[in-house]
Amino acid sequence: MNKIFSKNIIFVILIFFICTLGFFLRYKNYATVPIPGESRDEISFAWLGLSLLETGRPIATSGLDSYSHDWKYINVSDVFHSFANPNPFPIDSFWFDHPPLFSLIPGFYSYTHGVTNFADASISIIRRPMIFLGAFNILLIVIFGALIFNRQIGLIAGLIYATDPLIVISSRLVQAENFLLTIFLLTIIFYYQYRRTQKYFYFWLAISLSGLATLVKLSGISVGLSLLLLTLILESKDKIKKSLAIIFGTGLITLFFPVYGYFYNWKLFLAVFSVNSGRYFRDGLAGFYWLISKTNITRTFLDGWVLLAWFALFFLSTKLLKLKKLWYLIIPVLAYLLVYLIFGSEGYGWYKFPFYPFLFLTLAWVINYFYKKENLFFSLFTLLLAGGVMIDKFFPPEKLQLFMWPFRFGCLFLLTLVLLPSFNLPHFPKKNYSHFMIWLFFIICLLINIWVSLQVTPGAWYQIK
Amino acid sequence: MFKISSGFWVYLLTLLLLIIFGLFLSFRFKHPQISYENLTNSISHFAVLQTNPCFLHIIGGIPFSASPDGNIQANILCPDGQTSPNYLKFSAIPNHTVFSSLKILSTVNNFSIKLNDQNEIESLGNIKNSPKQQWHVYTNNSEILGDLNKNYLKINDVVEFKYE
Repeated sequence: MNKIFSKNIIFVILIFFICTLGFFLRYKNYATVPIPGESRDEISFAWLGLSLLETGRPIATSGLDSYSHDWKYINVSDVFHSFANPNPFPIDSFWFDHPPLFSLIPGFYSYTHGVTNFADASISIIRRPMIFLGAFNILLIVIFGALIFNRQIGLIAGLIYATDPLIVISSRLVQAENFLLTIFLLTIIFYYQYRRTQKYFYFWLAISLSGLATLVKLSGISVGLSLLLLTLILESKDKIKKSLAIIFGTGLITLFFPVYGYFYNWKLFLAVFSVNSGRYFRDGLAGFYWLISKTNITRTFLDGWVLLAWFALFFLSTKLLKLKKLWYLIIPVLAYLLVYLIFGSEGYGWYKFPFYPFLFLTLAWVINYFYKKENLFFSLFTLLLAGGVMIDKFFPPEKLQLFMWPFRFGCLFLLTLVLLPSFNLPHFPKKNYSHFMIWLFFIICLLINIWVSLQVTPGAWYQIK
Repeated sequence: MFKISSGFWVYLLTLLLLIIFGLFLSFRFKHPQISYENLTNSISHFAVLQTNPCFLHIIGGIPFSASPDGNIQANILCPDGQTSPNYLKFSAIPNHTVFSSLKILSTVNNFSIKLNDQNEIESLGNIKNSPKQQWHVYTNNSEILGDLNKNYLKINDVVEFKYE
């Protein structure tokens, strides 16, 4: 009894530590990296929320031709001083680029903190709720991993998600995808709870959330699609009835958006919808290649963790037949991939955000798998790919040149360390050694993550091409 | 057997919340707290007034270009090593006078302009005319000697304010 209690206490302390670490990393330079104005969508979402709360009208800024723009120089967060985009804001009323739900987060936060007009909604204010949301997402990832798999997987995924600089910087952005992934995780958690307990309360809660996901952004349809596919794959009884409940339940809530458009200006709503649905597919048929090989936020920010996680997903798919729980990771990625390929005209960084929690949970599962198998090879790849790509940003080849021989000997030493258990040496503590080395490599990668996250100051960010 | 009613209240509650949100929007639409003009006003209540335009140098430097609304694209040049700027330059688009262009520029960049009775510049930012140096305005390298409010700009005119 005492042992279980102390294990639980340690687990809770670890979760608290991971969330606090993630919060701290996200908080540092949150108002300056990415540079205010790099993504005008951030400002647009805050303005939408603010205008809905104050005037009941959806007013924001858009680049679409369907609107007759009211051009204004609103120098929010000094965007005209600090970032090379001097064009005035096209102010559009009524604004229908996206559904309104997410905008209420930055809008409500700004409103309750004394913001009354658009010029006041500075980046330092509107990004603050995103920092808390980012920490909450870390918590959800740990819960997801611990609930569906085991605590170690939850903690590993949480640690990667909390410290990976790509995620740290992405989490600060006022983009709907950051909230969409919250709803995505919650939905799958509740659906799993329904499957585990057979309580329909969780089933309807998952459907409600999948409906709300479409009101965050239309790509949130992937949440409902995930529920549908999970039901079709995992359910043995009343498959059709449950599928229909998911389709109609999600669809009914989604209807709020067209009703909202009808209430304000139906003709404009249809025109915006038509332009949005006819976007140019810039990435074309190579879209999937760019998705896995290029990581970006508002500018390209190479990250080896994501590519490693895609490799992990390919590996995980080979284990699907033996372990049905893995569907809870595969299906959300596939459903969002489908929507990403169908909707995605070009690979904006934030379009990829909803992949990351599931990819890192997958990666955590694979790291845990190789840990159990006492196999060091995947850890070597983690060190080279995740750690190497990350540290390269602040330790470029010209600096490495000064340490060429130590680097060469280091590589040889590293390979020897990895192969040592395979030499079958007598009395060699293979298990303890492998476990120790896997943890060591993982901790080194995390320390690199933290170090790099702290190095990304506005000056360093500006130099990233 | 699939019991559709069990736990269904959660879903109904979600629908109810959405209806309440819709009703709130409808109410606020009829009774707005703020006008469109005030909401989209370019002046921030939180902005710290910067009187030294040197701080306003745009990173990277932007090539002058026309914007779709005919407004100005401003770039404030601050010569290297100089702590106090004495040079201001922007391109301008038709239907703005030199004065109105400067007003927009000052609003966007939060610096003050003072004019005398003849609509000539008395001070820009915190730099005032002195017996030794005064602000002079040039359009395409020709000095404007008259009222700034009567000089209309043509497309791609370049206006310069020099403290000399």
